[in-house]
Amino acid sequence: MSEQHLQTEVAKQAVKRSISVQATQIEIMERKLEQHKRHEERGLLLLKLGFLLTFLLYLLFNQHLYLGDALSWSAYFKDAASIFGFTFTVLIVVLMALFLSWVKHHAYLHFGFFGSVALVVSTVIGFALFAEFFSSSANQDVKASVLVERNSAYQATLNTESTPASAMNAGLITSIANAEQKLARCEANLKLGKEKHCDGDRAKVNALKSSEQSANHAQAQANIERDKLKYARQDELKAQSYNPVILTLARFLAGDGDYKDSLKTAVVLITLFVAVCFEILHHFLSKSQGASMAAIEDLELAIAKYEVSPEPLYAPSPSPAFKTTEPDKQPIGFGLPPTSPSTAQRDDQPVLFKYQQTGMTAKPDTLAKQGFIGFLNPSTEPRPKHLGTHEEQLPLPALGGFKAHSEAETVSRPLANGSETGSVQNPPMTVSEPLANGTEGLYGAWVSAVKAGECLPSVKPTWSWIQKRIAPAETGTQTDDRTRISHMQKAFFSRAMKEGLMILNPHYINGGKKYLWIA
Amino acid sequence: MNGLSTHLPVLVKFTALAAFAWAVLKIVLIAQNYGAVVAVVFAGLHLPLCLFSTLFVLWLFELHQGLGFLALASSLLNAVLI
Repeated sequence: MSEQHLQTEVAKQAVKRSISVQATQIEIMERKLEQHKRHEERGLLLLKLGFLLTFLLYLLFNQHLYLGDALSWSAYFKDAASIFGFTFTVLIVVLMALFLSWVKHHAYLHFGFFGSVALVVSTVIGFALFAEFFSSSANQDVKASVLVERNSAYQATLNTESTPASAMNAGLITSIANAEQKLARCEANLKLGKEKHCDGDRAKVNALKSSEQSANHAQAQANIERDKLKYARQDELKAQSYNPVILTLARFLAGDGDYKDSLKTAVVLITLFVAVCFEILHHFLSKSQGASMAAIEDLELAIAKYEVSPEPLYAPSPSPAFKTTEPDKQPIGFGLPPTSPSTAQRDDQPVLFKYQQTGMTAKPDTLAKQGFIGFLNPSTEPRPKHLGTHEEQLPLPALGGFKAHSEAETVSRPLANGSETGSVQNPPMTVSEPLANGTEGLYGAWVSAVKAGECLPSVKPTWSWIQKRIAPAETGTQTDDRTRISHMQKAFFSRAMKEGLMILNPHYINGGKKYLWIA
Repeated sequence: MNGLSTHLPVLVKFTALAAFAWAVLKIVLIAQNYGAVVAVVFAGLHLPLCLFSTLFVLWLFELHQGLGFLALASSLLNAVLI
């Protein structure tokens, strides 16, 4: 009587535990659903902001392309025809910017839901990049011009006037005039016979004129040098009016040369980097939007099934690690949602595991009686230990096994031997004795290891634990079966959650424990 | 390690916010010194791009750290380019 009572109590506790786990799972899924909805709203807001930014970028690009600098627009307002033409062009510029940005926005939303098309992606992103760094680089030049026009040092160089040569040589001109006057008197006296010659006066005049030419030449050279310095100063001030980031990159690009020659290159490179950053983030938002919508739909479907089903159908899969929405990355393993098979399935047949062959399938009621869920059947006898608990390569047959033999081939005994090749005798696969080993298999060993404290119930330790058993000779990134090991790790976690051994940490934060072992 | 994973997102978000605040401050100072039109020219599209990148960091950094750092770089660069 007491034993029966004990069994009843144990059954009640199991039911309570199952209900508690189910309630926790629903609560976690609802919380995840809220998070995904918030994430989706933010993504949508950022997408709209990206659309607005794209519109402004295209507007600036079109304005520079079709209308030119705004300072020159006064020429369009001379008569009615010019005003009409200008208004028409402005309308085209605005509509074109709106159309291009809308196409890009629509393309990004389309990419999020239906995947991208290489030609459309390259066209949209390529043109957007070109327009963005075109308008951004033009903006940098305009800013530099505004700064340099307001620079007092630059204005001082513009107002500097060169000294006139006459002012510089006033004394010399007077001396030349006096010498020429003396020479003229001398020549007049020479004609009257009062002077013997005028060589001295003539030499003085020549010397003074030569001095004047030398002084004028020196003055011209000085003016040229001063103008050179002035223009160099103006160029320096113009260059200095660029942003310090651009100046630094220009100096880096120029190396030992003149950094002013690299200013435009630096502007293009920096604005191109900014445009690329924006395009990457904008394109990512479209992917994120599609993933959020799919995750919300999956979670709503899962919650609806949980609420209808008397018992948990499967463990919650809102975690992005499962990615149930991607058709080419279907999850495998235990207890994952049967709602997303990659191929059509009949309702009366179970969803097959990736490595489960059609011949292995049995009637669902038989499986239910045996409690067969995944690729491990708990009711079967454990395999001999020397065969291992996971997929191992069987020893190669002796070469003698392939010797030609003299047996005659008959219809009833073909030499080809069907699907049984070589001399390896594979054990027959039956429902009662599947090759996978039930709870005594790798999953059972993992549960035991976690309970014994030999393996932490976290992603990386479990992954390493499986890797040591699946491919012990390979390490780290050299492992060929990384995807398969990841799928097995996820399958283990999923089954453990279904069996109530672990749950998702409701207070999970980035860097903390995502799963809690509750067994 | 745990402390780093806890504090790093906060630091990154704070840096992005500081970059945006600095960008806004620069625009305000330019508007005071040179007028609103010049401030609009200087803000250009760098201020909206800085806002976009900052919002990306604030909302999506914890989910997508790699792109979050790219958004942080974009936010800082746009702030200094103003």
